Amino acid sequence: MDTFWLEYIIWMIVAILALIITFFILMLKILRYHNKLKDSKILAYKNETEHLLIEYIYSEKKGLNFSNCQLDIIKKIKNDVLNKQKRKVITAVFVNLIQEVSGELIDSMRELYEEIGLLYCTEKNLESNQSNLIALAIRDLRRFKIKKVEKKIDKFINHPRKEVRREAHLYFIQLFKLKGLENLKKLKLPLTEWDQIQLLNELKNFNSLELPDISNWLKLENDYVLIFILNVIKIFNRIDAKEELLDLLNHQNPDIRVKVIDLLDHFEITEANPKLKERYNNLTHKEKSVFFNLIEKTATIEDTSFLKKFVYQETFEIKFKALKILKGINQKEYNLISKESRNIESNEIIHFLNSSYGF
Amino acid sequence: MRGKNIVLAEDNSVLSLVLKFKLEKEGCKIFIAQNGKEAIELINKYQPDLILTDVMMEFVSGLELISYVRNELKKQTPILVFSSSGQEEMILNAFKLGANDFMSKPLIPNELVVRVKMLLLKI
Repeated sequence: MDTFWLEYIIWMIVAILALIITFFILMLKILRYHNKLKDSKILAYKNETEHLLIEYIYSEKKGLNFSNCQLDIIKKIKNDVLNKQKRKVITAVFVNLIQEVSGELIDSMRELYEEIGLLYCTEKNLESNQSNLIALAIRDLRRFKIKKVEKKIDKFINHPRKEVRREAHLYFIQLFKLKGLENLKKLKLPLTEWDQIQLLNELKNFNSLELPDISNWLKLENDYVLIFILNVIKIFNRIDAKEELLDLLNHQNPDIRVKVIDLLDHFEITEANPKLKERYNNLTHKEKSVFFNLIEKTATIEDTSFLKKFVYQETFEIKFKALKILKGINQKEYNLISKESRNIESNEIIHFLNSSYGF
Repeated sequence: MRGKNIVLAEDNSVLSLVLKFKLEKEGCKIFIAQNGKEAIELINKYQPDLILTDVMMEFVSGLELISYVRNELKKQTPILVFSSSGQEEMILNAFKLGANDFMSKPLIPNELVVRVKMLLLKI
């Protein structure tokens, strides 16, 4: 009897579970069917929108006014923009095309973008609480090159979310070119490495002669923007802010000091050498290493006594650079050191330099 | 340019339509391929007078397509390549494989039409 009830309960559980699983399988099939139907509708609508867009672009206007064909297309798409799903498709079609073409087509598309109300929807998203919507809105405004919302985008320069800040910076650089850089002066938050790479990539398209006066930029308090500007100076070869650069050798941030010395090395500015030699013992290891790169390019025979101090001391890297530079500027002194050296590490370096020419 | 057959290999559907519209206005017949594999089928079927191809495509890339036309089919059909990556290496590879012209994206459709005309005039 006991086993009968036990078996009965187990079979009941099995039956219930089988029913539940069957139910879920049916639900899954229904959901899949609906999703496929939805996808095919979206694809059909996308094709329709693409054809409408092409027809609009290649319809000729009646003077300054839209033609009847264009007005019909605007009316049709304007109605659809009110539907969220369709609005997504329409935006995707626009964005898809605007990335691939340039010229007079863009002006036509921008006109349509405003007429059908997409611009209004995008501007509304700028007031959203969700940062991802704000970032996407700024991205669309950038892609469609809508300059009139400049003041609205300005307030996102210091948005707490970095995705929003990134889009705002790109907006100003792409639309306003080098004038757009001015907005970075207002930045109070970090500028990540990735942000810098993206901005520098944009700046590479511009003419270096259009670059505004750099000297003011080198007095900024935001260290991240300062590092970015130092990269800009290097890329554009703008050596006109030499005095300000030398002043930055006293900056409290060691990363900035390293960047400055690297820049001085790039431009071979020898005025920095006496200053850096004077305070050599207070430099960080990175600064010392980069300083030796500068000396390597600008060394003269007068630097012999300075270099000799590091032949037996300091880290391997410094020792190697000191010996290499010494070999280049003062062969006599170098040969003397080669003969007299009892330091194993130094001797190995000397042997390498003698047999491989330093390569 | 009237009556010339052109195969256009481009996976961006709306861009294909724009270019098709533009070129058909000039009297050309355009065959659109969504990827490199389709492009090869169209080239074998219609023996086009000109090939326009994007570089990045599914199955067979634009560069592979150029190589196929030049080395397998041994045809000298003019080929114009376009790419959103305007890297020097990409451009050089395209020309080394046998492309006749290269355009960086974003394209100016009017410029494309002029280049197509120039290429078709040479044949």
